[in-house]
Amino acid sequence: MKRIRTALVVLLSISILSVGCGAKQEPSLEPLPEEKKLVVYTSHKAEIYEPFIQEFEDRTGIWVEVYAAGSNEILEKVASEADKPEADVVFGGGADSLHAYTSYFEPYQVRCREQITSEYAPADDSFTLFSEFPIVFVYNKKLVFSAGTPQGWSELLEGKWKGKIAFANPANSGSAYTALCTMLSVCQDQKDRTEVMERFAGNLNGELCKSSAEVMDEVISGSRAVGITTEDEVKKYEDQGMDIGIVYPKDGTAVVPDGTAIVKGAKHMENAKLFLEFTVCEDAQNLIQDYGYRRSIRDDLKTDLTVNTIRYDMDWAQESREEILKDFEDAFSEKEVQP
Amino acid sequence: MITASFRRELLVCFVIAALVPLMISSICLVSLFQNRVERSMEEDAANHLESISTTLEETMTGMDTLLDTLSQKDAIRVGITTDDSWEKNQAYTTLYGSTGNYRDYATFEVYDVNGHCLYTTRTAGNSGDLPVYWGILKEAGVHADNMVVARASRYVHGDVCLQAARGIVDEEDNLIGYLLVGMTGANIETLIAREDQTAGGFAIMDETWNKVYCSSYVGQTDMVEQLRSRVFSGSPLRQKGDTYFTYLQSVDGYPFYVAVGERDIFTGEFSRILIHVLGVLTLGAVLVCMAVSGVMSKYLAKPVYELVSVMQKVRQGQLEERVHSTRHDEFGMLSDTFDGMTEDLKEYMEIQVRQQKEINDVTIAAMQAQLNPHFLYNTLDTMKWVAKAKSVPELANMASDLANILRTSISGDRFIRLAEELQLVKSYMKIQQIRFENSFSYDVEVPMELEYFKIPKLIIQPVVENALIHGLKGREHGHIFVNIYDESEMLYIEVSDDGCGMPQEEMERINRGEVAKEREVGRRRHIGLDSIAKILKLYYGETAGVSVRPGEEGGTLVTLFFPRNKEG
Repeated sequence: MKRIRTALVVLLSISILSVGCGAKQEPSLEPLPEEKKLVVYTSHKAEIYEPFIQEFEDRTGIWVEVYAAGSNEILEKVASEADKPEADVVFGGGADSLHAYTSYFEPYQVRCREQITSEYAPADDSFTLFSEFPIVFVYNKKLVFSAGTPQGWSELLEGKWKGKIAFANPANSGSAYTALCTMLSVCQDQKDRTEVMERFAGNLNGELCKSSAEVMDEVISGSRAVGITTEDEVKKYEDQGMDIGIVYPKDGTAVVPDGTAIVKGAKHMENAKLFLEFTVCEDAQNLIQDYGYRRSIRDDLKTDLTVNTIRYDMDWAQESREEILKDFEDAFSEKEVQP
Repeated sequence: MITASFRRELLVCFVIAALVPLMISSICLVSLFQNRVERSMEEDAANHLESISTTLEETMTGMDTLLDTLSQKDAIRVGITTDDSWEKNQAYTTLYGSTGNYRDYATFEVYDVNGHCLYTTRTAGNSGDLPVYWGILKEAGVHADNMVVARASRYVHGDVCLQAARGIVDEEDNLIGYLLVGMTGANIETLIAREDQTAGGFAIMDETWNKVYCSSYVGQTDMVEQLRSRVFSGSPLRQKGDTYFTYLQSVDGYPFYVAVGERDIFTGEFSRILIHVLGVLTLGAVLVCMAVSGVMSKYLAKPVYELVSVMQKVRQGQLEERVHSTRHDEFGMLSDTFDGMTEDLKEYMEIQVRQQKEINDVTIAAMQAQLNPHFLYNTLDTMKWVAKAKSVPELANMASDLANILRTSISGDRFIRLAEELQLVKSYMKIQQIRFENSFSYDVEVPMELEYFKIPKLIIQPVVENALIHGLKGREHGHIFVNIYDESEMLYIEVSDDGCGMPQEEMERINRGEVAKEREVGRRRHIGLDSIAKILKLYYGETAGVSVRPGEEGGTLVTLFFPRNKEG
């Protein structure tokens, strides 16, 4: 038996060797050095981040690895990787969202810092603002004549818009939550908060869009007459010739900028700093304004915004997030069960 | 256990003998086949890569020349700044006329220094504006003397994926506009298909391995992204589980890579078919092995079982059983040998039985001779006392000697001491001396140390009697001499007389060991020399025996000899 076993072992090793002879040849490449790498987590849409990443790569020769997802997901991922950061840069995410995660960011002052005077800019430079875009209403020109458009948040609470408003779920969409908070701040002078919430939720008729992109689809297709979204989305589709119009709420709207942050303990710190400088450089800011339908964050470059803006209380919005979402959920589901 | 039966042992051996070569050969075949396929795939891919990259290179070089020419043309230069519609017409005609060879593969456009599109060979729509501070136009502005190429950016309208640009300068070397070439994916497909109909799937990547274009035939739509992330993480380009082999080549003189994906046929379905075929082959081989091992084990085990059953019968004493195998192989030899062995055993047993029977015959004869010995003995004793009372000493002595002889001869011992035998002989001789009135003498010579040596009973007396009755027959005087000695582990008992001797033929017959004829035995009525020889041989084996020869002074010398190491 022992001899048989030995023979089997010999045969097996022969066959393994013969297979080994047929091993494939790997195409050989120089390994990419670490100083040529940058890992970017982004919540921007591809049409926003792609030109920036490409231009950054072309100008610096640095390879950028992009991981794109929703802003909440990205920030949570960064927080969960705090011990061993994978990301170098968080590109995108509202100032209010970034504000809640400043402990995971490496403060860095960009060279043109004095040009960024936005009230939302963090004092400790834990993140750097990127662009501005107000919360606006969009309407389908076939369904609503411009004279009949809702002029302010309070109008959306009126019964005539019941079932005609497209609004993304504020629990998923950062901009929808910002819009909800904006509405609460604008309308709280006039009415009780619960009443505002209930009337608005009632007008949604128990239906929410999954994402802010779906809001535009609903309005463009005519499923809903008006929608609440950001300015850049409306301008983008307007530019593509869609039959839609934009309304800046007369009773005031929030202009919450988004930003870029370096992750604390980033492996490619120098490249991350280069990237931050790049996002606020003149060319990049011009591009976001000329081709990204957004407003530059830089005072020397930004176009005038003649709308009634309110001060958006980021601290309040962040602290009351759970409470506001729960109230909204309650009001929404209450309306939902009614026939 | 495997070793419990022929069938299992054979099955295991056959399975190993069948499956191991099958496995080795199939593994070798598969790896050979794989090697061959991979080599041909590699060659194929290398050819495609070469033709694709050459085509791209030639096209771009051609465009470089073309853009160079165009940028020198006054009509174009004038067309950028003019408001005159005729001059604009001239500029467009020039652009259109010069690009004829390439318009199937690209669109040509003229931009002013602010990035507004002025002229385009595009048949529908307008390319709008492009930023001059960003991307390809910026590059073209910086390197106004050369053509720059790059993958198209998102903000470029349409599905253009590859761009080339060149700045246009006036006489004073001031930048006044740009020439821009755009290639869509369809353009690239057409271009490559013109040169290499069989190119199949391919992808074009820029310097940082970003996708410029990836044809839909490439199989894996995210091939480029996958390759890039592998390069980024420093892992090998080719990994386990890839359904496609990727081959790469850079385009000479331009910052692009071309990749070709070849479907790896050694995955999924192919492996399944291969495993099925191997499985069926293996199953077939195992079945054949089982069948053959069954037949073979029956063929081998049958004679063994036959042999075993015959052996058991023989063991039980049926010595006439034989295997009688008709086979001519090793089993036939084994059976024949066994048959021969049984035959020999049977013969040996028969000899044994016959010898035992003969000993019994002799014993019976002796027993018959001892009929009523105690009566005779007592009678003799009485006779002795009567003779003494009547003062007849000869008679008393005779009776005493006879009783002595009788006592020794009727004792149950088969062996007696030499001294006892000699005493018996002496008593016998005394009686005979009285009978024959002391007409002969008797002498014994025996070493002291041999007196206690045990010998079979009554082997000397018959010889002495023989000598007395036959040898000294009809003589007035005679002498009988018994000489006992040992020499080289043999004991010799010589009985010699000086009588008439023995006939020559009789001596020869005894020396040959032949038995006397029935008639003679009957006549003599005593245990003859041949019987003594037989007794000695039965007790001591073939080295023992009796020899007769004429004495030195006439008469007869009878010698009994047997090994002295075998004492009874």
